[in-house]
Amino acid sequence: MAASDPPPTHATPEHCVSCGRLASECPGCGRELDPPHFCATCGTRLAVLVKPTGWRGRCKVHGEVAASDR
Amino acid sequence: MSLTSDQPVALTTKPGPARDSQPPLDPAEARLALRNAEQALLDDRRLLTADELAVLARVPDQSVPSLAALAHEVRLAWCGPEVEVEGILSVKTGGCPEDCHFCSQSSAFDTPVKATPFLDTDEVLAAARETAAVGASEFCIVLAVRGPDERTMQRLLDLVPIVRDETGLNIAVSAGILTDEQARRLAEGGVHRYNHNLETARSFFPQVVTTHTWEERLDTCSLVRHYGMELCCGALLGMGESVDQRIELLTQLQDLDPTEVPVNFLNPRPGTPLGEAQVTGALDAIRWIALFRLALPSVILRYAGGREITLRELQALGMTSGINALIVGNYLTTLGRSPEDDLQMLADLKMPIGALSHVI
Repeated sequence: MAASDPPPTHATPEHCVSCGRLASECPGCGRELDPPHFCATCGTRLAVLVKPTGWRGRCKVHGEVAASDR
Repeated sequence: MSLTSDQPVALTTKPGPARDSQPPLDPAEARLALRNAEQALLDDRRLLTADELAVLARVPDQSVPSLAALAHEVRLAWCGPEVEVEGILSVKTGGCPEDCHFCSQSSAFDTPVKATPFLDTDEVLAAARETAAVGASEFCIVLAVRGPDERTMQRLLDLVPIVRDETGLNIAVSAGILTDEQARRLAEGGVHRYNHNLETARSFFPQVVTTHTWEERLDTCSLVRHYGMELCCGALLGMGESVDQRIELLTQLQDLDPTEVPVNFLNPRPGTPLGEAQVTGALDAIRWIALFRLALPSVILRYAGGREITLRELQALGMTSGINALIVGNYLTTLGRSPEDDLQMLADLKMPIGALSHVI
């Protein structure tokens, strides 16, 4: 991987970030104004901090797995 | 939410207007009702009665823009052109023992929200600084609790002056039901405004909350006022209450006379008893924003949760229907519009940003 390459991402999340089920078993239940509540890698419920100007989701296994500055 | 369920959470966005026991007014009746309200609020400068509000609630859909225009004029006459901007932060999320049927933070329901402990002071300060940077004058520290225990009280009393002095923001707190002593200590500790919503009419409240009473909420609101904090007391529309019950709530708010009333529209939360409720329609939302202003002409009337899914691209219409304050950015557990979009909207409408307080 070249130094300028973006970090690897989950091209195909294993779990739905809105309900935690296997992605193959969820037809898509996420909604536009909800932050992720489950880890895309392991399906564990995230500790989500929502601030007026951003949010972040932390998995007890994988650390900070999702964040936005708005 | 059950991870073993075979069905995804499904929501309808079909508008669900409040049930009304009366037919709409005809156009001539609507014009007369609007003229009478204009006379009362702009010439006589008196509050509307419950009967007058009930008539205005029945103007036909085609008269809602006229209702909104009157509400905007009333807002300018009673409150001036300024708009107050506020940020809110959940400093203790989830795990609440109460069973408010609309809330994803209740431990009574299986929702995606994970309970988290009281945030560190540095995290709260960072959020407050970011809120101040977008032009807000108010910052509300919110906890999902029935009421504060002594440890929580100590944390709040430590936190409030730090955040206020570091950011220059007015600090509001929302920490549930208070005792007399707790209300006094929070007031003495520098809490500028305390939020405690009635949410809905007394007659409808038992259908959405069973772990505490509407009267307990009213008692806390009275304590807030008694000890000199500004009272922020909001409503949540779209839980199945009728038009008559919305009018009932408006008259109860008139009696309570809060400084601020945040108007929320139900954003159905997965896993809660109201998770499948219909979303309030945009025109119905504008109608009720206007009616809140006409019922409460001097109050700080704040755009709050649910406006994004209810009004979608019609956000500016609410600002010209009686609103004179807004929550900027995200909410407690859900996301909102970008602060930049809201600030641009206010600039486009030539509405200056400023700190507000009760007019009367």
